[in-house]
Amino acid sequence: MTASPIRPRFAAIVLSLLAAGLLLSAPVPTWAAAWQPPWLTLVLAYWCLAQPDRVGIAVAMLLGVLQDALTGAPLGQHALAMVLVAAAVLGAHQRLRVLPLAQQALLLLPLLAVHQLVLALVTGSTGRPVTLAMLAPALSGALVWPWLFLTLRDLRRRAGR
Amino acid sequence: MPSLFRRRPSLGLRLLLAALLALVLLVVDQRGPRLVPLRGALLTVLHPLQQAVDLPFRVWDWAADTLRERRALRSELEALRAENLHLHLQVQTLDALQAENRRLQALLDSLAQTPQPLRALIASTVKVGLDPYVGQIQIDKGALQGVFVGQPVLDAEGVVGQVLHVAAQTSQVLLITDARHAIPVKAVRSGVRAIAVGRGPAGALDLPFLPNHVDLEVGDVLVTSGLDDLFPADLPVATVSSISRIGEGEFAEVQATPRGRLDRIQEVLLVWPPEPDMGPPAPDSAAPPPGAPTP
Repeated sequence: MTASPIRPRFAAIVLSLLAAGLLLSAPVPTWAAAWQPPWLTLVLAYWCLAQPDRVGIAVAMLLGVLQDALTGAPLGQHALAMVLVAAAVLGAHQRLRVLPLAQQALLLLPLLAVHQLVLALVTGSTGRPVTLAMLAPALSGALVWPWLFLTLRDLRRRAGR
Repeated sequence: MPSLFRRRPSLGLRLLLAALLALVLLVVDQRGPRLVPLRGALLTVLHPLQQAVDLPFRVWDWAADTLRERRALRSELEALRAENLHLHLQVQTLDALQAENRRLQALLDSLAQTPQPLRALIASTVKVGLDPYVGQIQIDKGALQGVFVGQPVLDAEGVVGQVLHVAAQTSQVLLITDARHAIPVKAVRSGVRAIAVGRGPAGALDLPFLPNHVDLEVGDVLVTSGLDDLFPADLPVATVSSISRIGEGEFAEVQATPRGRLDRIQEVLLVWPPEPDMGPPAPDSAAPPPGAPTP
């Protein structure tokens, strides 16, 4: 292949983000929607960890706005939350990368809680009721992290390092 | 190759700029319609993603429709015939009532308009995951079909909500139960006017700021009053479900439930308001005609 070696890796990133978008749009019953992990944020966090010089704040911003438009949320809500997550992961990616998966998940939990808190704050500022249940996706997100990490690492290795 | 010496603004600065941009977006989006085209464009671009998710359901529905048993179809046909007959009967009595109404109004020399037939379009709900904190549904008609932001959305039971965001082929509808939605209503029995405000995901409506002696009873049907220039008048909205007059304040606590399960709807009606030239004159041209009695 004469094409630059960046191509497959770029494709892997886009593909995984698209998959996250599909998961995000999947219709789920109301009780499950409250527990749905923030898929796009998790995939974004992975790429910030694995490819910090390719996926950063700007990508987080773009993805957040896209998710807001897709799900009918106030425009900028997810952008704000995802930018914070991306910045935290980018700042600590060298230390996070070498930790065991369980510890990564444990560290991700408060980060995702902040993510949900930002979403809840914006929801509250628009005059809608805010409940403690809005923190549930942080828990489910941290729980699926190891599995997601392994899946995406596999995808990244197949696409070339 | 990642270069070690590429110059980039620091992480903190990038975070600050992005967070500020997000905040600006939030404020502008909440304050007015300026971001409507941007949101519409983004949703239009992303809609294939939702269609991909919705596709299996569509295929399933199609297959179920195609493979339905003759017996089931026949029984459904019977049921529909019976319902059609029933509705025809109702319409006949309505015709008589309308004629009587017109006669009475002519007697009163009233300027009130007889209700215009509404132009409507049927839309199906698209089953996709949406922000769970916003009471909303998504439908399969958009700007290409003439849908506009603020358009009233009904179903067979009554008012569902209004269009919130429009993309080319799809739109998102804010339900009347969302905490940011309010709709002016009046009680059919007593004519009491109120504002029905959504209470969030619980699926009930609040009627705030009604005095303790308000003439409302549990079971009263609330219809749109038409005072908002958005929803046509006299469409059913909800039924009063509870009244509590023993609060400390001077206001009664009145709650109402919408007519149907709004988040389980399959099909909705998009309604276009009657032509403006049929309606009452605009407020700025409503100067009193010569010879009108002055108050």
